[in-house]
Amino acid sequence: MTTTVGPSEIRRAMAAIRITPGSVVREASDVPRKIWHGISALANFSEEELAIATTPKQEIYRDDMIRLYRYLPTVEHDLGIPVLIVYALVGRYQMIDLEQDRSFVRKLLDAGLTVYMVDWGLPTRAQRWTTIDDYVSGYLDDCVDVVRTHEGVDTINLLGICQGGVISTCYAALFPDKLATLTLAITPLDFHGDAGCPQPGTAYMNQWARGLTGEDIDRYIAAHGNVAGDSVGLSFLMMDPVANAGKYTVDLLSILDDDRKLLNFLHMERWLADRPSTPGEVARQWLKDLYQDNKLVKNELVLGGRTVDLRNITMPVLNVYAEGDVVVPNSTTRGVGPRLGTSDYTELGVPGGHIGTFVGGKAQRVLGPEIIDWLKARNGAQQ
Amino acid sequence: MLTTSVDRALQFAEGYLPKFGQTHANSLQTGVDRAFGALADALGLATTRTMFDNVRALAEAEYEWQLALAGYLGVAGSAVGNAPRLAVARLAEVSKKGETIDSPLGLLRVWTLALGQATHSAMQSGDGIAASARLVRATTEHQLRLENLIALAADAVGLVTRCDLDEAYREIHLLKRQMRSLRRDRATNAAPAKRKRASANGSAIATREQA
Repeated sequence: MTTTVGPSEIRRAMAAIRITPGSVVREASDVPRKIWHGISALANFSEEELAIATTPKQEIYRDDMIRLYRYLPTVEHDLGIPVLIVYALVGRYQMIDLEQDRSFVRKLLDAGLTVYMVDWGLPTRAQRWTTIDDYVSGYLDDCVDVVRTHEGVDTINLLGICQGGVISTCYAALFPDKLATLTLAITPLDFHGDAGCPQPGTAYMNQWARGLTGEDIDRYIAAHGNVAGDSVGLSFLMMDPVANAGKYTVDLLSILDDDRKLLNFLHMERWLADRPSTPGEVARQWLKDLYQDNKLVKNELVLGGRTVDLRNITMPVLNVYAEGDVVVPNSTTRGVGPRLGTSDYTELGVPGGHIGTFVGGKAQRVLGPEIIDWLKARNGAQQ
Repeated sequence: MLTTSVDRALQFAEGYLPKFGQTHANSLQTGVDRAFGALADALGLATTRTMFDNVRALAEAEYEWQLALAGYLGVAGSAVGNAPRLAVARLAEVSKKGETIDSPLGLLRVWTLALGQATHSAMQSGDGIAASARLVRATTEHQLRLENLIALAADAVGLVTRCDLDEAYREIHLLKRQMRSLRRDRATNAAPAKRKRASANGSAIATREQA
């Protein structure tokens, strides 16, 4: 830390503080009112109001803990080529359908897209040995085949989000013939992309993983089996512990008298509380092969005996990044176009942070329409 | 579990005691073990002796965990030390722009932003990453030794251990993978059926075997 503070700076800082006894009393007297309102609101919200991911859908396939859903259409016409959404393993798919008025899924449906969703479910100790390859070449490939059969098409649009984007990228490289397009959102691809531009507050997970040895990770998996959802949640909290402490205190206090914002907060908490465990072998590969050895962009990642070669990704690719993402910094996701085999590569920046991409108002105004337009242009060209 | 705050404080204090006591204890135990270990085993004390070794290993892991935690908190503490300077710098910036902070909550936000910035710098420094890695190692070691102890006790009374279950799960997993491979081979060899659009509102849920 190189910040130095001299007497003149202290004088200037003190000049900025204009807190009067009146403002203290005003703010202090406001606190009990907010708390009482908040207590009443928290107790009175109905389960219907608290429900998340309410867009109607139908389960069409299941295997182990995996479920494949087809969302019910909201308009008559459809584009013909369905979209299969693949969310991360470390969180539940409900994030992209969190609230009715800001649901990414509803936007796609309203635009006439046929939307499917993979729900990775809640892995238990029985999934201790499940590998990334089992997800890519097993579960996801089965889901893609079910969608192709169900819709009577040879190829589909795959949309991978965050960790699901990595799974989708691997799938696109191994099964390119089954995909019409690949859309990636807030997806880490170059796991060492942050190394050249270290910035406190970003890419903590990348640095943390590189600070461990391969043996540390092996022993961690041996000790814990799976990485518990609670542990994953804690690791996200520790990326920004002070801001998270503020979220549950000062920030919460400031919204206690605003039912709409309080409900938003509770929806997010409901999603956060439902964090799945990550199968041990997946975590081992994820931390060692990707975070530590960065094998994906080097075309060295081997899944089920087959090398994931990004040059096999020849379908059109849309890569969406969040401009303020500190979990997946732009340096780890942007600029991968030349590494892919496709000549149709597009990058799209949306305002906000990692999660804000799918729940933030500003991002929602950009994300849905842009993806829909991009898909329509590509799907139209292929039909 | 030696995890009450009093125990932690005592254990941390013990970290400053000379090490020769431990060395002598270890030497004595090693000597006794070498001389009378086989005899003890023959008398049916093998499990007890192994349990004792594991309890000692767990205590050592607990000790290392306390040190790792202290190191981690030390790094976090350094952030608290740096935060006031950053807060003053932020307030000076506010003043330079001709703006003011006129609410206690506003001032608190300036402080938390400064503390957050200081925490990021501390935890992403070389020392912070190393302290975090040491804490992960120590936590893992503690967990492994605790599991060893419990597994030993379970094994002694004929209960299934976690390792047994994991091995069973591994077998099941490998069998499932083989089944999937066989299913794929069968599908590849079969004549390709023309894809037909299915009813969107069909009620049947497909399973893997039907898909």
